Amino acid sequence: MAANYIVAQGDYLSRIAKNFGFSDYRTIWNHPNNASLKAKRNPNVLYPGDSLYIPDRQPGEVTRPTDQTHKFQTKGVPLKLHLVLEDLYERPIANAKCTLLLGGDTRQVTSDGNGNINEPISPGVHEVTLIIQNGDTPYLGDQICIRVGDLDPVEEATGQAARLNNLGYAAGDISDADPSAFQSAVEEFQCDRGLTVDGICGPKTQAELKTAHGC
Amino acid sequence: MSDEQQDTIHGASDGGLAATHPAKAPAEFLVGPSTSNEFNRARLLLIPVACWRVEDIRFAFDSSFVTPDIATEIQHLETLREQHKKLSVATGNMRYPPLSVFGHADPVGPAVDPDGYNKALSGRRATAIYALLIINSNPDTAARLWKQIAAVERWGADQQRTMQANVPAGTSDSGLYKAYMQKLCPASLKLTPQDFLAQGADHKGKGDYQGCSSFNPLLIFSQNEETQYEQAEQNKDEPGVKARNAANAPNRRVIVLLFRPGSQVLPTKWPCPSAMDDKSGCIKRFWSDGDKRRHNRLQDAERKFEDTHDTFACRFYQRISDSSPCEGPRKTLVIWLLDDNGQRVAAGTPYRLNVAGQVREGKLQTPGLIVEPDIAMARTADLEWAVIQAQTGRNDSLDQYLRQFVMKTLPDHPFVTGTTPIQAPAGLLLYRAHINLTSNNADVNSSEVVTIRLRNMGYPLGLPIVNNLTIFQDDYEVDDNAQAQLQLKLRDVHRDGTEMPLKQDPIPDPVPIPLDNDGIPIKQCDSQ
Repeated sequence: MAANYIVAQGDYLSRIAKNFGFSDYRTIWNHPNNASLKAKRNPNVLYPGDSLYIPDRQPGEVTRPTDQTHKFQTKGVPLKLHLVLEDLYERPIANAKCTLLLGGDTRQVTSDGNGNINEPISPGVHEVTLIIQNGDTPYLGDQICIRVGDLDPVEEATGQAARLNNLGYAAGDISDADPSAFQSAVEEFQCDRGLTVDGICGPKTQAELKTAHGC
Repeated sequence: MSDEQQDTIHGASDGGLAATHPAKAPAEFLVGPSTSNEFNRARLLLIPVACWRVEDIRFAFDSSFVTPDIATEIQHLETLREQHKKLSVATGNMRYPPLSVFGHADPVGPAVDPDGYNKALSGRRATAIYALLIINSNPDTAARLWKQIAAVERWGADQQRTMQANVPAGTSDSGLYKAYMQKLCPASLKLTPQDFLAQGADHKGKGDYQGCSSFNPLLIFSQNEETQYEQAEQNKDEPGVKARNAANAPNRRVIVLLFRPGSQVLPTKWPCPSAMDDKSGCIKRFWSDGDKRRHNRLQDAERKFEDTHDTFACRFYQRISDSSPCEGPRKTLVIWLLDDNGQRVAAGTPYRLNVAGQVREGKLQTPGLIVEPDIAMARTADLEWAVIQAQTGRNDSLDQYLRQFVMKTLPDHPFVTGTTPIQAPAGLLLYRAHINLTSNNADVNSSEVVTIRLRNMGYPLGLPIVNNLTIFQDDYEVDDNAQAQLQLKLRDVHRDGTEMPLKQDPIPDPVPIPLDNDGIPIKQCDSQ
């Protein structure tokens, strides 16, 4: 039955689609009722409270002879976890053997020459642990916690803080009464990127943040 | 309930401090999944793990000449580095935390470009410390750096004399600097340029040592004070000028930050200019309201970094030194000393206090009261004092509870009660106690704080707070038995050293622990 779904923290479209029994998130995303949401959001960066229209599922019909076995494969858009790992001052953590713990699944991956790790994941994945196993980064052996789908849009303060934190600017907890950690992080970022340093994360700074962070 | 927590301060002295930074919560990366070309850049932070502070008192006034007693602080640094070394999985070797040196000056300076003057002075102090630390691996470089400083500052006969007095007789003039520095920095501490954050990659030391001028004051005088000091300066009132310099001393410090082993910065990307360069690079990193932060004065109150965290102009330095114990305040510690009956110990009682290596000895001036100024804060302290058995008057009783001691910072007076004494020769009872420090301003409802106060007053470990408060209520004959009220009363008694009302029923005499022939306390069984 068609309904409006209110996005919760940690949701992203592929996961919502899967939960509602859709193999392809675009069936939901391209529905006319979601046009305005689509215009302002990236399907992987939704915000708690966003209202998403879930249409009725249309059963697909296919005619096939009954006395043969047939293979049906659901189409979907593959979902990935794409990280670019860097040490201070934009030095990539290159060609590093890493362990990825994704729920019950353990994978050994290697970052490429630019620090990229680009791994297919299932839409159910939420908390991932990354452990760098070689090289001489000071973070060797640490359990680095990654929460997939918890990144808010850059228009929201929480999304700005998350990107600043990811980029190493330690923006603090946005719910803190004292905003100075956040302001300090914004100013450092603005200073490093050659923007006007005013501590306010306005549209220009947000755009730069999105570019620097990758999404 | 947590027992004593690890002291973050490892060594403290009149000349400095060595401390571990509070652990930061591990980084969490909130990312979005990708269906097309989105990605998430995850950059790992530069994290200071510890710090080492050298006070102004270790330098000659308005100079970068280092005095010989810095040997104490150098030892603290040696220990601190050992505590923070880590095994490198890649090489199988131990990696030490790399260092970066930050010199700070007070705001006093010439009429023209005081900021520039202070940047140069603070830069020279940072350089002097850097050179001292590499003396055992690079003696020629170290001596050269000191000679350059000596020339600019025109070191003269005084410095000459001090150096001569501390080196082997017959040391040639040309070898004087090296020999003096080697006296201050023991051969066991052999730092190389690679032990610093930028690994000596820049010939001017960018990333390894720098001066922050007067940009990051810990203390800003009130307008009233400033007016007074300016007048003293104009009238050439020497005591007044001296008073100002003494009051400004906390601002004149050298802070060395220790970073996670394996950390390294590129000099080209490091925001701070080198010690020799001018201040323009610093100003780029100021808070947008940086000058207000470091210049604004209140009319009749001082502004202190420890209170408002808004006196530093340099945003970058503030971020990197955030919550460092080395930028924390020194305080006056006050202890109330009470015996097992909850009565204040007599005036004249000798004591010995040790707070993370800072040792103070004295005699109680007022019954029950010990006051020691200028102590670097730690979590615990050790206290010993001696009472002449015959003079205690009332029956010092071994209370059925184990009594311990507490020390607090002003204005929160600690409350200390007697513990099992040790019988020393000549009829002395030696008391010895390990004290937990907590501020009276701490949350009166926090169970941790209540526990510390109760424990400090000797209420039994292992009993729930509620039971201990009931016993406390009895002891202090408090009418109200609401927990909240008892906690408030506990705080007040703890702060004021309030004596316990004397009890009707007599408590048995204490059984002091005897000493053996070598003066060592003979171990006692648990049950008394």
